[in-house]
Amino acid sequence: MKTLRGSRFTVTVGLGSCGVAAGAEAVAEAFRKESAKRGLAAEVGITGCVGMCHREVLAEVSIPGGPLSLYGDLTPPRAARVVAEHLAGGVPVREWLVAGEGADLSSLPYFAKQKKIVLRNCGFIDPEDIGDSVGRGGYSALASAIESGSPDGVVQAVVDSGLRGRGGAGFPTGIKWRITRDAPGAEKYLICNADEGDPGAFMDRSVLESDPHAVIEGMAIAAYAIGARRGIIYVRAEYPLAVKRLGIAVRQAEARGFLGRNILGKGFDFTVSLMEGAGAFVCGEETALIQSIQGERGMPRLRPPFPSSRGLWGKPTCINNVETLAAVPWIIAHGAAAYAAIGTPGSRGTKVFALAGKVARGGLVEVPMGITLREIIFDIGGGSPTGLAVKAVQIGGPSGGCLPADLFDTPIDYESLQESGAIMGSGGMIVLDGTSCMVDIARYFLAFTQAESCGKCTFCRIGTKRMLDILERIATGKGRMEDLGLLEELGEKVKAASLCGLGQTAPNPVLTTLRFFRDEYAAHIRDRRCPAKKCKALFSYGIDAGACVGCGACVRACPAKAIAGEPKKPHRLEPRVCTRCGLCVETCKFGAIAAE
Amino acid sequence: MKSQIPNPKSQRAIPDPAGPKAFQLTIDDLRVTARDGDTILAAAGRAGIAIPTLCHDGKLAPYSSCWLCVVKVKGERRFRPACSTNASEGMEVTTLDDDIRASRRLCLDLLLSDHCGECVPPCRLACPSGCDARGYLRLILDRHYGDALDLIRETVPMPATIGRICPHPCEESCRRGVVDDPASICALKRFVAEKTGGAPPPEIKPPTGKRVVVVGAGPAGLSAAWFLAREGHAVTVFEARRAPGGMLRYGIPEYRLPKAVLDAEIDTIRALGVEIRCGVRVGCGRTVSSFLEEGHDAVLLAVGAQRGRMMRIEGEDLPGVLGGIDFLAGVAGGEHPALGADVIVVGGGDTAIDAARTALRLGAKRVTIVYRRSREEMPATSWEIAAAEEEGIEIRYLALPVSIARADGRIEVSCARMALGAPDESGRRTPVPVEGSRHAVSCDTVIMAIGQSVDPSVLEGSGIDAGKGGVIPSDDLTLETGRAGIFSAGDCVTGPDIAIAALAAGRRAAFSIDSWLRTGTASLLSPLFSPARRKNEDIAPDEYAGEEKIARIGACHFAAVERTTDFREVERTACEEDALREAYRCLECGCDKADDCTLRDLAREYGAEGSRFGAPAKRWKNDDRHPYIVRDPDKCIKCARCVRVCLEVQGIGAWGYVGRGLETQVAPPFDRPLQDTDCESCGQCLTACPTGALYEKSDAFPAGTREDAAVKTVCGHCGDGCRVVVATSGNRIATVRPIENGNLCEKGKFGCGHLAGAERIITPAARRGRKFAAIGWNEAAATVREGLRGACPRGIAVFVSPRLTDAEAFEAQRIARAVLGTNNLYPASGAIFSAAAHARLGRIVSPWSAGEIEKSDAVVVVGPRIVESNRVAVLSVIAAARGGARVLIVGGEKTKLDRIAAEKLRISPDRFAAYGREIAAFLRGARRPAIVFSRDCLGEEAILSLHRLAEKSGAGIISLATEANVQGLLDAGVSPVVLPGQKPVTDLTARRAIEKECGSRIPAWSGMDRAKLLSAMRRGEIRAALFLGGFVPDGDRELAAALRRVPFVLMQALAPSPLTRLARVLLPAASWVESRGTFTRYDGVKRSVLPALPPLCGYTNTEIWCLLFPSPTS
Repeated sequence: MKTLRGSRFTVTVGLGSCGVAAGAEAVAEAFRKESAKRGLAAEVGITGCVGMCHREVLAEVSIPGGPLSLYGDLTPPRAARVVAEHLAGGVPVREWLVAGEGADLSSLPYFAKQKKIVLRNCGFIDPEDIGDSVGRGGYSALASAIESGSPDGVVQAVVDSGLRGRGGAGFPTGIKWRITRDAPGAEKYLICNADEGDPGAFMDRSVLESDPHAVIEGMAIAAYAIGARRGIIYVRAEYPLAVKRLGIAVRQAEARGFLGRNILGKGFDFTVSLMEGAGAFVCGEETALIQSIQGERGMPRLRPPFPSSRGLWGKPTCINNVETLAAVPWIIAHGAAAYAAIGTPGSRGTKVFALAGKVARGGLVEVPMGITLREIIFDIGGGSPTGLAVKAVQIGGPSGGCLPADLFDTPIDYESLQESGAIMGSGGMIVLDGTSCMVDIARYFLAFTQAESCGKCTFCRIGTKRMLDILERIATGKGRMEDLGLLEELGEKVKAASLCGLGQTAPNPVLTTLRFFRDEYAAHIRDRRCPAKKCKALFSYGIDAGACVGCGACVRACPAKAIAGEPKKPHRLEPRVCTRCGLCVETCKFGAIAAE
Repeated sequence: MKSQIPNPKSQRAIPDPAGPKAFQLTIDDLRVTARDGDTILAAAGRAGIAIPTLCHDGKLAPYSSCWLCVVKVKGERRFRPACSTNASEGMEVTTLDDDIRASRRLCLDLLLSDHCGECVPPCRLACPSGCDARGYLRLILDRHYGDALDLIRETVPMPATIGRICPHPCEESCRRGVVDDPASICALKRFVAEKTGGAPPPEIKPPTGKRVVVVGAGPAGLSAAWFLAREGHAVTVFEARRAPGGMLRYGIPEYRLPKAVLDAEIDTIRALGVEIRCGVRVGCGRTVSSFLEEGHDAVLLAVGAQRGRMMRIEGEDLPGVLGGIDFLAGVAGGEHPALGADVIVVGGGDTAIDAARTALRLGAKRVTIVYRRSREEMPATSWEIAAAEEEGIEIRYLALPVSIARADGRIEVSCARMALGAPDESGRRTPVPVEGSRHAVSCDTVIMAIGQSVDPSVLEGSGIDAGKGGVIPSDDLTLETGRAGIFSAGDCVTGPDIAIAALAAGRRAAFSIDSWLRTGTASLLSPLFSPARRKNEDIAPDEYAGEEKIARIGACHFAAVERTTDFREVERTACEEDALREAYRCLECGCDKADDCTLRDLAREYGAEGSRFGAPAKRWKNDDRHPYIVRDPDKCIKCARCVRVCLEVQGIGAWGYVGRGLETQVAPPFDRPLQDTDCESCGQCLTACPTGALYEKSDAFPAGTREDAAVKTVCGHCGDGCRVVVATSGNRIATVRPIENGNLCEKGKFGCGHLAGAERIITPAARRGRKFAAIGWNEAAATVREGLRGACPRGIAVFVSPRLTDAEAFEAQRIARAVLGTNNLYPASGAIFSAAAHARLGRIVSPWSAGEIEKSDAVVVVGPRIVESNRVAVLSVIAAARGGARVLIVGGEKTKLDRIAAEKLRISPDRFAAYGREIAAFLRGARRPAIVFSRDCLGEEAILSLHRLAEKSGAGIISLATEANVQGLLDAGVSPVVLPGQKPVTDLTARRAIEKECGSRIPAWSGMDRAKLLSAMRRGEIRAALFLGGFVPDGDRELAAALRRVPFVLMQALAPSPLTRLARVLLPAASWVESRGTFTRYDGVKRSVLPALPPLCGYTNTEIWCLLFPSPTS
């Protein structure tokens, strides 16, 4: 988090969306109130996300002369105790310290294997204060690019760095810049694609909320390199905090002369405007995104021509993702070679993942390319929190695939993942254990992509729906074995005959689960059984009369009134009434209720 | 979504005048030459390789949504859509292999799985013969009974018979049954037959010289004879019995089908030239082979299944035990067997019921039917069972005779009681005898009506072996017996079936035989193809919730007591009122565009089916709020051709998308009603739609009628001269569509309804006071002579319709000049040029056509009113703008062109002096400038100035006309100042030539100009005004005011209007859809006008003028 700034009482609360969702605003308010009550005049500041979602709410506390202490799992009463004991009493509250006194994060296993390039400033600066960013080297790369490098030099540096598009497709960024730069036409556009729409993914949001300047600086460098004078950030309207902080950051950058006319006095003009997307997943696809900016319905068109030759308003347009652009200043500042030194020959640098699911330490992690799935899941994520074996990892969001545990030694790079049937995607990573049903997972992701299809291509619009119909049939025990072949046939055709990435990847979750977990599908169809007890039509709950003490807690918890029984006597559950919501299982203190 | 014309700058560039570069690629191993900018689809098309597509439309930008046009390009991992992938040098393309075929089929399967429509109405699908019930019900509703009969006879040659006796499977599947009760389709067929009794037989094709023998004059044989005769073959039918009709005569009792009705229908078949020879049994004696040896070209065996089955129980052969079928045949042949008082009929089919009811009518006191199963399994039609019960016939279910004996002059039938066991192959439960349940029943006569079988004796000596159970063999695909030239059909192939199935079999056989006779290969009549279909069970209860419930008018029976005493027919024909009410109940299921549906055609080609992913359900409501266009979202395949044609060609953008995923709909933005958008009702979307998702409202054209004929002609509504197909059904226009993917506007697409409407004037009328009274043609001619008497030639003015053909225009001109001696000759609408203008411009004609505008890079539109008057020509301006051209508009009116205009001058188009300089500046530097205006909406001065400007600036002039044949009229000399050929009236040589051509002197003086004419009229100097050709200039108020002072006004008109009230004599006229000749377009291009319909009034315009102004020479 922030560096020690002086000899004052400071409290810095992590106020990214993740922190806010965990109650960070109330915690900050508690810090303010309690310290005021005690007359401590503590400065309560904010910062973005440090990536430790599993420990939110996080706050960093220091007292004059004392070291930084990072607290996690905070609540308002705990904040009050930290104020009382640490700020007022000078004694840290050890039980909630995240990394001991001194907050040496790199000592934590969660951070040990991470390499922070894109997230370099996240959690260390106040995103609403450009001064913090500049204090950590922000915009120095822009200055050096303009001063020392010709646009071609900048393009070459990015080519040499080996940076590939982090939005999912992995097209070499430098090459894309060069094509746009070389495209005929005086007017060119740069678009930052901040329309992150994958369920469970929040890499871009975190960067936009925690370090918007990294993105804006990246855009300015890119614009300088390709010869664009206008930049547009196409950001999801569902990210209000990101929209707000981007707005602030653009104004501050303009005020400091990093954007606008004659940037840094070198005759380079570049303005950035924000455009809020209306929440259509498909608008993350570049041709659809362009249509959306032009005020039309976001529907992809066939490429070529690619946007780099004919894009927004028919002009050459370079579209880069948030994470890609945020890496650019680091590359310029540290040199292409430094970036290229990280990762594998085909996939250089680092990649940010949103690690979630059945993992002890979830959050935003940035890892060097080439690291294995196993290292991320176990060394960084700490493995399963439940003790059940980790069964698979869903990587690449709704367009990605599910890889089984025996492929956990797959290195994270574009080619290896593609080969396995998954994709790098934008960085969603969901860890699954025995309580996850692969049919259910496939159905969940397909339901998402199906509903988000723009409706243009036959296979994507109807094919995905028919696949979903089949999955639903299987999940309700009405499947037939020949459905599996039909799913594969449909899946391959949807991939082969769709205009954009949405359709070309939508069947991936189904196809990979079919490939690696066919026995789970077979169990649903042949045995009418859901091994993970997720598909509600295929299991029922029962009460173990030996374990039930007749406390009645489950009776009170059951919303369907499916459980009855006299006090102190074993209860009975009526499966025909039961909706399999599972509340009784959670309520029972004696472990007497289980799926059967 | 904001609809806007796509940014012109982002669209294609102005084509290189040198033409695109050519290169070669390989498509399906063929070397194909393509041009720069060609897609694979276009390149393949040029090489004659068709690639299927649903979303591509040649006049629209590539889109790629349907994915049917997928092809493989060597070196590419994925399929490529051929419609939007550019061809390139050396490319290797495969357009069809197993993979691609499978992909296309799956694509069509998916589209059909979300395409809830019914290509063919369920009633028609259910009918073995495929009779178009929806079609004839609609024709009944429109009271076109003759057309209804013709339509029925397309598939059912014996409507009076079938309308009486058919068990009508159509009604079982009638969708009306979902609302209340099925429509009485069968009774309406009978109604049509009775209503049109004595109608002449249909026309037959010219004789082919082929001779066909049909063996068996039952329904299958008669039907085959009918259809073969219609194809022009000579048919002889051989019948073993004394009279023709087969089971219709000998199996169905008089009270259900009077012999007189049957005879009349058979006579109709004879009237086609079919010879029926009765009393000739083929097989014994005369063999099938002998027919071929005698020189007949083909033989059809249709001998039916007429042999009664026996039960093979003891005592079956005793006297008093009769076979059902023989019993009925005997009665039909005039026998009256003594049956006694008690009769037992064994069996549960229609024959059993018929036998029982016949026995009753023959005087039996107690008739009992014994059936071994329960009523549920009984094969007889339910209403026949009910009628039998009504008449007092007892039915004993679950009883089986096991032996028969005679005792004391009576018959004892020993029966066992039965219980129902497991279902058998037919799905009916098998009866099993209950042990110890035997009991005896006593009666006087037993009639065994337990079924029929085929008598294969016809095959004797033919070398053809009978199949299992004696059936006659018949190939599934050709209906051939195995011996060349010998075919078989009907019950003798299938075993006993209902009459309509036999008629259908006869029709199929006729088709096979006809194809065999014509081509040497027998091919099967293709069955009705309906990839999209639903059963009544699949219909959600609320789908027809809004439908008004109307009680069914079923069959009307006489009361049971009245009908059992004799053999009079028990049912009556519905009266007209009832028939109309019943026809109104038809829901008009099926798809209006089934015969014009690319999806259906491709489904047929690729063997796709809608049911592969379960039956599609109706998810949306049809939107019929627009005056002409109905949208059925459940048939939409989201190809967006409507969206794109509206935006890209029309420049409107009334359509858009709503929703996402499978819920995506093509609809106006925000799902507004289409008519509340900027929709111009041009119908271009409807024409572009490759399925039935957009179709014409039946108010515009009657639905359910087919097209009998289609004529290619030129639209007569405005001066743009669009080529159209006018399709007709009977004497009505069924639809109008553009030729070759051309464009059409509201007037052309939907404006023809009135031409066949009830408003049309069809007889001459004379004004008596304020009203018109119909008069005869002779009286009309006399009145005209009277009206013209005393009017000097200079006191006569003639106005000629600008919708007349070139030849008619010349004739009108001849009448005015040579017959009436006047040069006061004017087009009834549009510009009249002065002698000076003619002198300046020579032949007045547009140098450029509207199509040239599209190649322009700078277009000046003078007078934006052309957006209204020349709706299709204006599309070229929009296309030019899409292609990157700059557009300047002169004139104040707000139009859709404003959206594409680079500049607009709000100056009156007639004030050339005020804008001439700006135009010149605008056109400066343009490579191929164009100036567009309508010569009928602009003053002569401005027109001359624009011509001068064009000469100076090198611009092309497009001088449009507002009416179809303005140019033709001018060229024909319909003008006060020029003669045919636009020669001045004052030119002596020209005049002499015309006089020679007209055979009479013509006046040498010039006619008045318009202003002088109007003032002369107002002063009462014009004594007679004649409007020839049916165009009435209703909007011309000045003329209307002046006409009030003209004592004698003759008008030809299509329909009454405010102006026709001024006529003394009002005459009908033939419209452009009823005329033959040519139209000359504004640019001088002549195009053929062909009549789609005969003139409604009976005469062409020239014939009418002949009646009025008899030429002295003729």
